Amino acid sequence: MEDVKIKIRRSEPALSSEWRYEEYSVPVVEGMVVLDAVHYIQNNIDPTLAVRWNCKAARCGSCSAEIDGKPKLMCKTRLDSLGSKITINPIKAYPVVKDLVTDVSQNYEIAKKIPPFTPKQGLQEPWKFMQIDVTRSKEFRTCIECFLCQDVCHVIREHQSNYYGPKHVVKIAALDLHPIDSIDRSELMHHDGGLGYCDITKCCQNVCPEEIRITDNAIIPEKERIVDHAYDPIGVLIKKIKKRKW
Amino acid sequence: MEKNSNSSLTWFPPEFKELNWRLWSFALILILSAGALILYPVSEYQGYVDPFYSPTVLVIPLIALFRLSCYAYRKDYYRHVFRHPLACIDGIRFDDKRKGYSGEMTFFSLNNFHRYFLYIAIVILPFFYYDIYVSMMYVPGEFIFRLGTIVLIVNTILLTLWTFSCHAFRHLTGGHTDCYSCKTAGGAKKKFYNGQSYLNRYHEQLAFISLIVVLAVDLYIRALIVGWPVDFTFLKFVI
Amino acid sequence: MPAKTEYVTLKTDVLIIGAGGAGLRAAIAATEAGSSVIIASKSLLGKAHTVMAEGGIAAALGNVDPQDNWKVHFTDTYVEGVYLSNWRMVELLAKEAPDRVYELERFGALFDRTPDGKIMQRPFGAHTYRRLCYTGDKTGLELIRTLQDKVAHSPARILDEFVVTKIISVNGKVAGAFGISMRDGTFKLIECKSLIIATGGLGRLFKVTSNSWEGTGDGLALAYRAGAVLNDMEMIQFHPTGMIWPPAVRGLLVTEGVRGEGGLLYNKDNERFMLRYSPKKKELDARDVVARAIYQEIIEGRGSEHGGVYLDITHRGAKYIKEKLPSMYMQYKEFSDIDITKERMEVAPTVHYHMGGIRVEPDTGSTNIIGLYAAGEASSGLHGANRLGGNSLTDLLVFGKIVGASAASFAKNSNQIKFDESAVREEIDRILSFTDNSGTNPYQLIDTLRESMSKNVGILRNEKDLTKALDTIKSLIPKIKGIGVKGGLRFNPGLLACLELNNLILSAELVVRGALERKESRGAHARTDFPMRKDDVWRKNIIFTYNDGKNDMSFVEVPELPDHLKELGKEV
Repeated sequence: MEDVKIKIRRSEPALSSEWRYEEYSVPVVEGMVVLDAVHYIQNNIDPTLAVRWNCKAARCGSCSAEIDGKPKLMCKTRLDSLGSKITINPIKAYPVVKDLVTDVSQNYEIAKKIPPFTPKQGLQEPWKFMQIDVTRSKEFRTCIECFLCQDVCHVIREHQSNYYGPKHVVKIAALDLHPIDSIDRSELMHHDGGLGYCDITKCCQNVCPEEIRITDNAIIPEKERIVDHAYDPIGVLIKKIKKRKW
Repeated sequence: MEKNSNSSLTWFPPEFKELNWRLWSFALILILSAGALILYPVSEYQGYVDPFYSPTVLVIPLIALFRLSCYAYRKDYYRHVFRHPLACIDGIRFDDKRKGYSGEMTFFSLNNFHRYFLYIAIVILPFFYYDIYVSMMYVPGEFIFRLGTIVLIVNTILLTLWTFSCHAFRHLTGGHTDCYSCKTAGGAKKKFYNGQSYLNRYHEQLAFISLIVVLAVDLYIRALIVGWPVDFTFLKFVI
Repeated sequence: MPAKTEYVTLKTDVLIIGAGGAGLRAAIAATEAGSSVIIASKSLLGKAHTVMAEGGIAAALGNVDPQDNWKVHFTDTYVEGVYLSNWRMVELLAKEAPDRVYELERFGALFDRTPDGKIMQRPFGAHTYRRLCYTGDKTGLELIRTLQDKVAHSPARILDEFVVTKIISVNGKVAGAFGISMRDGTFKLIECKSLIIATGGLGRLFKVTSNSWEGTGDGLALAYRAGAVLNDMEMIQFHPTGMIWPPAVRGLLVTEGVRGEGGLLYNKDNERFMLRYSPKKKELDARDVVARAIYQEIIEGRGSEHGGVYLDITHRGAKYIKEKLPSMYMQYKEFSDIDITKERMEVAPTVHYHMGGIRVEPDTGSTNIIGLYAAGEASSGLHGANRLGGNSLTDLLVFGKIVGASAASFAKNSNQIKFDESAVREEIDRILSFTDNSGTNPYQLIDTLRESMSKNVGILRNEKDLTKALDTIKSLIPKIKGIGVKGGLRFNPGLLACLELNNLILSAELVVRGALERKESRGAHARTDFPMRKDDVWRKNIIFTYNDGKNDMSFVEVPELPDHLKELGKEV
């Protein structure tokens, strides 16, 4: 098989604001993925090429990058699905640390703000609930925290706001839909979480490597929960009568 | 990132302050078509009630608002009218750090009333079924089944599917529930939710196909009025 | 760029190296006991190899098979560990597993349910009853996320992408650890009263492995150089089913859940060969048995097109497979264009788990170094010569908690050990010696090592191959003195490779020497030149101690079962 030409954006912003594309020629082996090619470069051409990776099996969500402009996992993108010239950029929503590695730490800060799982009181243990109560939340629990949805979200990438981002709405939906959980986190999303900034353009859903239906199953249901409490006149009225805060 | 930036937002979204020919042509098309519907009315022809006039042209603004606040259309005009963003791929996103953006925090937070337009749509929907009945029985004492009736049936089915695949409907009928087994008839509720979710997967497609079909039905009836031979009778008998 | 030699000093009660299941569970236990905790992790938080665990958590809840109880779980684990385990560890595991699973559920984990609403349990290799609690085929991910969330809302401090390069000990007492933060390229010294090693295994020692990049035996090497004793290093588990084609994904794990859900193994003659090797337990026998059977089929010429065997789950139907094994479906579809609901998978054994590791006290997880603890795959003694599927996640929860609590209580009752700064200076010099020079590329040496290990230290071992591997290792040792890369300290994979190579080569040597010494076949360690198990000579652990640059080998008898446990074997 022919070699592929791989162009990688190299930079180390802490040292210099300059960046450059460097092109490498990589021999192709059957079934090779982009991450294999990056490893080849690392092992044989330039060991300083920084890339974040762990499992190389699309389970850990470390190797996010923009391959020919599309946010993808490098370990899940096969070379034979691409042309003979490939461009790899780091994900653009976050500051670059070095080469393909970005600083995603703000996501861990947001995660701290989301109220943790809080079970209902007074239930008999061990808890009993049915498989039908599990399936919806389970979809969101396959999230591998690759932050591709955060990267592709224009609110995070191109605009300033307090919106947490799709990944965190997925987390919130996973907690809210837990049958034993007692907190409604839509209030948080309405105020601090800035869910109103999401304009449901569904890029997050398109890029999710776990095929979580982020917009349809997490964001819109959370938006509808906000409508229940903050917009729907009937809902607001019930809230007033029952003297509930949210 | 500023926190609680809501206070700095005004009701008037920055999106409207930009030079955006797409927005104004979109608005123009809406105004022109509304004008055309009023200037050239075709409420009924040989038992076929034009969908735009059922039950009356006066409900059109409400239906338009149901369409405009639908999650499928929202996605589309945010993408194609405002380009927030146009596409997901780097290079053709056409979104920009310098562009103002308020999402659904200001003017477009009105979209949160979508469920009320849904209620209205559900009230209006039976009229379309009545129209099918009328198209077959419009001559007293006679039953007639024509191509036009099939056209109306297709239109009505698509409108029904689109209406009931709505995200707001999904929330109201089962989506708000966290623990199905804690509720009475929770199993049935979850089954209904699953079925509705299946339909919901095709909401976007249904939204656009149903819109195109409504326009097509309108044109079909107008074609009949000007005498195009596009109707065909399958069955006709006295009752 | 001038070499940076300054460093930041942090202080804490408990330092945990590794943020996998064991590390996080230990952090929860230690913070609950009121200690200050720092977790140092080589990867980002939540990316640990634990996320790859698919099948489930073994715990004798008896939800599906009410006959199940801790005694059966004990017997299964002890017997399949081929009498090399520490009975007390196995007893703790079997007894505490149900509590830990229910506790995990209270932390927020969501398990699949039985029709009457309890936690569902699936069958797994060599477990007598259906015992594995699971969330689809992503149980490890669920476990990590749940613990990660709990830790995020605790006072524990997380230093992720931080590579610990040295554990500082003074006269057999732990004083702290030193390392480099990859994200900003700075050195950090962490002074601690107790230190927990939860760094996982050494699967990356092999070319064909299911392990993540972290699995380079760092923790073992760190502890060993600090004076800790290593145990059963030769015991490496091969998972019977790894992917084999295309070459780029060779070694990738195919979960035992496939067999748990009814997957059958066939050779190229369409023979269900496990009936021959294990007529009773068939496909669901212990991993060492199935792996050897598959290997035997392959070397005897009954392998598949690409040198594996066939694993067939198609008879379960598309809907069932997609619901129960979604990741497997995705994995084959994405990586090898195979639809497992319609076609058979090609599989071959792959390096999976290291039963050996740091020798610990069962009830506390402490090592022979005062203040040093170990848990999870990095520790040793629980699984003996072969680990049962599903027991590793249980291990993380049970011993993570034990170790976290005991490290915290130790820290509470002791003072920070003082040490000489020269230890830190030496370490800085050592790290810097790998940078800014034009030494040999570490990757080539790592490749040579891995190649040799995969070839010579496989499922079936013999003296000749093992000696070859040892020769390779010996020839590499002088070469690694000259390794080095360009670039600075910030996120420099080449530098990391240099640091890891030093750990890998040490682990490799101990693995091979242990394997050479154990002249019998037991569990995962199978010698073709000594095919019999010899209980009279070899019911003992081979242990290694670091002694002034030399690796001293010695032997410790496996403790005899006490009477109350001896009875169990007869009961079941």
